[in-house]
Amino acid sequence: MSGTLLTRPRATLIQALGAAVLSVVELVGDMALFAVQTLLWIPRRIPRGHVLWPVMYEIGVQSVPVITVTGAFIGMVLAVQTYEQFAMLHMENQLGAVINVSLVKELGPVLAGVMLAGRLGGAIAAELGTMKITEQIDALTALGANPVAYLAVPRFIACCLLIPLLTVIANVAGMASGWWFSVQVLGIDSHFYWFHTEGFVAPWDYWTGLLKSVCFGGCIAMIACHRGFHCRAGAEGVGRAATEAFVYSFVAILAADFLIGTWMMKLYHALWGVTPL
Amino acid sequence: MNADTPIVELRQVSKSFGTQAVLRHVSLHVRRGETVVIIGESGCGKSVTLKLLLRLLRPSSGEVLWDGRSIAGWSERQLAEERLRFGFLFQMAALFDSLSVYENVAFGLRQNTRLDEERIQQIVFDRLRSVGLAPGIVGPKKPAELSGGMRKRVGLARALALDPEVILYDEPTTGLDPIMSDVINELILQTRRERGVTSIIVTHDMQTVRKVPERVVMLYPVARLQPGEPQVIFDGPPGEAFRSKDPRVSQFVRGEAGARLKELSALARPASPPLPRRDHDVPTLIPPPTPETRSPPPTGFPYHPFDATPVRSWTSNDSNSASESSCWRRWPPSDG
Repeated sequence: MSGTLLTRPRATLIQALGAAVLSVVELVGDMALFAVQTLLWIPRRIPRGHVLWPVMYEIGVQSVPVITVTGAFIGMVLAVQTYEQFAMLHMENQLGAVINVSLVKELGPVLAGVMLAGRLGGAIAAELGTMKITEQIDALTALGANPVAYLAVPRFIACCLLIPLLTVIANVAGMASGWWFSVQVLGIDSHFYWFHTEGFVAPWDYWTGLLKSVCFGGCIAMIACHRGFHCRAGAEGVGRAATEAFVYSFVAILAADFLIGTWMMKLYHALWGVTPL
Repeated sequence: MNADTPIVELRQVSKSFGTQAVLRHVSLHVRRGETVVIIGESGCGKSVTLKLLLRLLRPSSGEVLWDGRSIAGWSERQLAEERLRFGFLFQMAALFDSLSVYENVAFGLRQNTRLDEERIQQIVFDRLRSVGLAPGIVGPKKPAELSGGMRKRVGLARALALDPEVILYDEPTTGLDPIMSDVINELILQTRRERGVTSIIVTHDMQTVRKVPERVVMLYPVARLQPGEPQVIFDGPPGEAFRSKDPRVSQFVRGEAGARLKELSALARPASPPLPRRDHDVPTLIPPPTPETRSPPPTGFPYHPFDATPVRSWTSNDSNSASESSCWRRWPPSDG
């Protein structure tokens, strides 16, 4: 055994690079197949209420406090960071426009998604990973339940439905805190704050943000369930699954944000012939 | 299908995980109503065999047959339906943490039948009572609140809920005290007696091997087999296993580690001589204290605080020193 290890030729840089690329392709392909399998199960067997409600409670209701706090701080940080620059140009009355556009279109969905990737992605991967290593997933199969239908589908539905709602909560909290900080601390007139907000924030921005959050929710659920189902044995395996769920979800959120942002801008341009703000 | 058709069968089945072969061309059949125990060293593939029989794992090669029909081409739906003929008691019971004991036992019924809640409750209570648990007390509890023996019994109740024809037990008595192990053995016998089920039991417990089965199958680890040697090294009644002339079988069932210890020590023999131990072979810069250099312990402290060696040297002038060889005598020595 040890002889085999000692005589094994060292991989060249090209071989190591090729192996890394192959493993990434394999992982992405496996996740895509898992996603297709999950999506195919949705129409075949809608999860029953007693399975779906606890998952929705855990994913939705339990996340409200943390997402409200996140949103509130995003709004205030935006106010602090943009005030100085706008004040130099004597445009501080337009602070509401930049805070609220950034919030609903970009920062609200992305930062809420990242926060939920940490909270939910890790929790889902750890829960399913523990079920996997304690043979509970085998027990589901033995009792006639399909593990993907019973475990992954409710989490996917809950994430796709509730993460946009949580993003709306984060947006509202951010808008309220940004307005409060701008008016009460920075001394900006409330009327002009909302007047400029109305002028710059269009329904298109809301829908772009919401579409992003639906995709983020789907990515978080799929990646976390996939990592949970492929968890390795032991505490280390569960920890690794939870970490991977967060890291991969984070990367997926940023990639999806870039792609959706680009496509939505092209779509806007195609529909109205001008570039959105 | 005639009466002699095995209810489950492995035909030339091999299973590997990556490069590690666990099963190699294993053939095994179990007839209806039979109770078979599978024994063998840890890692020889016993639990994998059980999971292959229930198709929780796919064989790398070979065939699994249920009632003489190969299940290789079956759809997931067909497999899920046919699997309900089997009950599986997992090694650590594998109860669903998030559900109560009642919900665990009711799980299969809710998932696969359209029975009303009243009927489900009757079945759940009946199964919990049949494994010696009080449904009113245990039913609302979560699995984390149960002892190991209770978890195994709830696992058995869950496996029995759908009235299976075959029950697979994966180490049912592991980690339990002798009394609870015997309770589980009796429950296996009682289940067979009352329900006429076929039982396949993986165990390391020789008490179970003596008491429960009609037939014992012993697997040997692939890594220690000679090329071409079968992995099933014994298949017969339990009495014969204890009288077997094959030392691998007889030593295993008697729990004799002699030959295995020799193998292990041969594997563990170091390739190069051991490094000298510092305290014995290498001179140290600071020599260990001698009776002359060692400072006496503080006055008034009842026992020598640092060393477990006799303190006679300090008290060599003491008239009582000859009788005080123990290091735990009082310090300072009494005058009398």
